[in-house]
Order: sequence, then structure tokens, then C-alpha cells
Amino acid sequence: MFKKILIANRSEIAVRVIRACREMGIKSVAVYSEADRESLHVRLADEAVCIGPAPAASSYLDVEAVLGAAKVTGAEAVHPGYGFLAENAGFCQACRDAGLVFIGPKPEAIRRLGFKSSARDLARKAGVPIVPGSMGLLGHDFMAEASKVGFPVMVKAAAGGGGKGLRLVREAKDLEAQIRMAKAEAGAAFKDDSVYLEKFIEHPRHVEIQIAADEAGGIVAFPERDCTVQRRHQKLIEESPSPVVTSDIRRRMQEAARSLAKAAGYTNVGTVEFLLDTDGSFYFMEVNTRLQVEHPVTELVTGLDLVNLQIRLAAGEKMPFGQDRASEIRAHSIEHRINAEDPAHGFAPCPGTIERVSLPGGPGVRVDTHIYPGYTVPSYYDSLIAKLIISAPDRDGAVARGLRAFGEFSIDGIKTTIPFHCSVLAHPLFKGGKFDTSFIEAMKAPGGEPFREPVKEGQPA
Amino acid sequence: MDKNELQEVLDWAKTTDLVELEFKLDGKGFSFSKKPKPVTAVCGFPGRNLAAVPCPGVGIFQWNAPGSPRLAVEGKAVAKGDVLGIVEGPGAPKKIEAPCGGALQNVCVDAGQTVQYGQPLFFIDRKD
Repeated sequence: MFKKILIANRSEIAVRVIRACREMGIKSVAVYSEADRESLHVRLADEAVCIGPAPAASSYLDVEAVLGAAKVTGAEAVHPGYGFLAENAGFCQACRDAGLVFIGPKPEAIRRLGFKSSARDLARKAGVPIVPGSMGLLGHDFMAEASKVGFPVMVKAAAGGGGKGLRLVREAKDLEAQIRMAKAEAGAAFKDDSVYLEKFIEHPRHVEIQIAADEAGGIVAFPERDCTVQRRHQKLIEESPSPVVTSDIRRRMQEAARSLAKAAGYTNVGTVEFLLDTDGSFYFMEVNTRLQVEHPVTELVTGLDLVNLQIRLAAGEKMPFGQDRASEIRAHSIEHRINAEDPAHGFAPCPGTIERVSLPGGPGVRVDTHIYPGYTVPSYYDSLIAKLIISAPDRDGAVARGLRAFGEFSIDGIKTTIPFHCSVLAHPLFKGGKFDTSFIEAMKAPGGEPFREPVKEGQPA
Repeated sequence: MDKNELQEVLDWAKTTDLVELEFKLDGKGFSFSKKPKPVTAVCGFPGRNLAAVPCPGVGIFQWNAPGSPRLAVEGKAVAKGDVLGIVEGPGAPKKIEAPCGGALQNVCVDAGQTVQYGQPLFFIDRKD
């Protein structure tokens, strides 16, 4: 086992990895930018090295600086956390070249799965369902292709991004005109007017499968995480098990994730993301070749420690349990991402100094955070400041426990998304478990539930 | 000596680098004293214009490229742009250049020492 690990990250995830290291008797090295001098991960680590100024490009994303810190501290392995360099195949390779173990998959696997097109090809070959669409770019036979896929369809720009060249077509009679418009838009935006077709999933849910694999080919898949509560593709609430996934869907998803991992030669932990349709069919979206923000949900559902597992697998150990243990569901868990954002004003980032913090506690309540009273949330990085992760025997219990915990949870000095989470938990659609990825946008629509402040003890409701 | 006269003396004293001033009436005399410079320089020390030279990266400090002479010696005059040392890391060595001219007041690092970003390595008593 490693004696010393460098954590190439900041915030709550750096704290999470330091905790795992300490429990395993491994020394931890924190790296930090000048803006994070007062951050909790710097205080908790056994050693800390300042690697650059506040902008991430010259600190947390500076491969030379991170490797330099590993060298001067004598670390044997690097844990990349999530974000920053976590899915950077070049960094993974640079670690190897410097004689360091990268705690994650091999660079070849990151490259294979990092590009959407190559990941889709790999999925198709591994027999994993992908969203039905035209085989390649659209030519003159677009009508035949569209009827094969079935309406409604989405016309997408091959060079796409940012919603440019994206057209939803519900009926055959509109197809030709919409393709022409999409081509014009794509040509203007990307200098490439090629488009393709994809089936449009009307009420999609975002469901993902956590996987873990050892070097010897042992692969397990964990129960799904439902990340349907999103705002502009940013996950806000994740839960497991999903309120709509049956044991049959779960088993098929796990099998699909495992065969994709096998085809990609995947090692260490990762996540396969799917879109789930209302009829129970699901389609491969992408693979995240790293630990996820929402990994604690799986930890609470299964009673396992994924960061500990990650480190063991990176050190070359065999998978310590089999698929039966991995798919055991022991609780229901819901994670809430608390951001330094003002939900009443379009979720505008709200950095600043935290005056007081009171964290919730009691049964089934876990808080992963790097904040403390007097801590200043810097404006340079993402706005995640804490994760509240609830576990309870069932979903209703988890929702009730979440509301109770938020009643105890207060952060003074900056605006946070706590009131937003309370209104989601209290929302009948969320309680009923029946919603899709447009839920948050719908909540904000006229007639939607307004955001409520958490009810505190001794205060009128 | 009245209060106004004393104020005049105090105002004058502030324009000097004196740290002690003695005044006798009947024994006539006067006594001034200037303390020696402190060993450890502190940025913003009154009457001084010390510039800290921060470390540009993470790695091992060396005085200069192998075979080149050491330029950074305490008390020595340095010109803006003089190379005071280098930081060796996984990439190309980073030069540590004097940000201003003056006397090298303090050297806080030695060859072979590990250094990190932003760590003050030198203090220069600015002359420009």
C-alpha cells in the first residue's frame, strides 16, 4: 500500500480523500492555490504545498506544478478528485512517466471513453443501447432515416455545442425545413453544416451506474443513482435507488455498464451515464472516468467506502467483493449539493465570507464540506460548498429526514441553495418521484412552488 | 521648554532615522543614538523599502545553473533582472529574477531546499 498520496484537488473532495487516507494510515499531501491558503484541506492534510496563484490554469490545472509538489514531498500516488485534471489523459500519462500511480483508470481507457464519438462506437460494439439515430451524417435520404428512428426526432449539428444547430422535429412535414435551418445555423456557427438525427426522448431521466474494476478483470456495478433533478445540465440532487427503476431495469443497466467497462479495458472506479425513457428503455450517454461528486449516495446505499476502494484498486489489490455484495441495497439515500449561489436571483454565484455555520447532525445525516466559520468562498472556482447526504430505510423517510436536517442547517454571510433544496423536498412532484430532467425549469414557471426558507424550531412555519 | 517647542523637536525627530534622543538641561549636553539594522527584515519596516522576492514555482532551489557562479549574497548589490537563483521542477528550470535593484537584505533559502509557489526567498532593500 502507498505511504503517501498527493491530492490534486481542493474543496470538499480534497477533504474527503484526506479522510480516507488518514483512516488507511496513508500520509496526505494537499496542494493549494494562493486563494485557498485558508481552506480546510490545507489544514487537515499532513503536508501542504502552494502550487500557484488563484486562477486554476496556473495552479490546480498546472501539471508541472502538481508533479513538482509530488516530487518534493515524495508522494507515491496522485488522487485527482473530480474536475480539474481528473479526466485528463495527458496528466494521467505524465504521472506514470514521473513514476507516480494515478488513482484512476489508465490513460488509454480515458482516451477511449473521453471522446463522445469513440465512446458511442465502443458502446455499440459492446451491445450497450445508444439513442437511436441516423447512421452517420444526413444525406438526401433523411426522410427514410427519420421514419426508421421514429418521430419526434432531434436534428443535431455534427460539430455541435451550445444548442447551435439543434432542432426538435415532431412531425414528418416539418423535417425538411428544420434540417435546412439547422444546416444554416451550424454552417454559420461551426463552418461545418453537416447534421445527424437522433430520437428525441420526451421525458428523460438521468440515471447512472457506478462501476469499479481491478487490474485482473474483476468488474462490479453498484445500484443506480438517479440524477434527474438538474438545472442547465448541472446536477443538484442525486438519489439511490431511483424511484422509477425496477429491479429488472437495474440488472440490465448494471450488465450494460459492466460490458462497456470490459470492452474499454477499464480499471478503478467510474460511472456510466444513461438516459432512461418512460417505457423503461435506456440509452448510453457517456462515461465519467473518475470519482463522481455524488459518490456518497452509493456509499450510503451499499455501506461501502468508494475512495478507500479506489486507493486499494490503484495499489493493485483485487476487488474485495463480488457483484452480489455490490448490488446490495441497504438504505435509501439522497444527496443535496449546497452551492454558494442565490436561488432567488437566477442562481447567481455568491462568493464571500461565511460568518456562522451550523451543520445538521443526528441519524442518517452526513455532511461533506470544507467550509467553517470565517472561511471565505473564493470567486475563482465552482460554487459547491457542501453536500448534505441523507440515508434512511426508505424514500419517504429520507425526504422527511432531509427536511428535518435542513431545518438545522444554516450558513450565514453568503446566499446558498439551502432554501431551494427545501422547496424541492416539499414539492409534491418530488415526493411522488415522478418527474423528468425539466422538473427544475417547470418549478420556476408561473404557478410553480415558490422557494421557501427552511422552517426553524421556535419560528412560525 | 513649552509644549509648542517640544512639538517642534518631535516633528523634527520624525524626519530623521534617530531611535533615541536625550536632552539635559543643567548638564547642558544632548545625546542621539541610531540602533543597528535589525537582522531579520520585515516588509513595511518604517523608513525601509523592502521588496520580497517570491518563489515562482514548486521544486528544488539552486543558486544558479550548474557551473555558473552564485550571485545572491547577503549585503551585495543587485540590479533589476539579476538571476538570484533557479527552481528545478519537472519542467524547465524557473529563473528567480530580482524585481528591482538594491541591496540584497536577506537570503531565506539555501541550495537543495524544497520551495513552493509564493514563498519569500529574498528581501531586497530597494534603491530604485
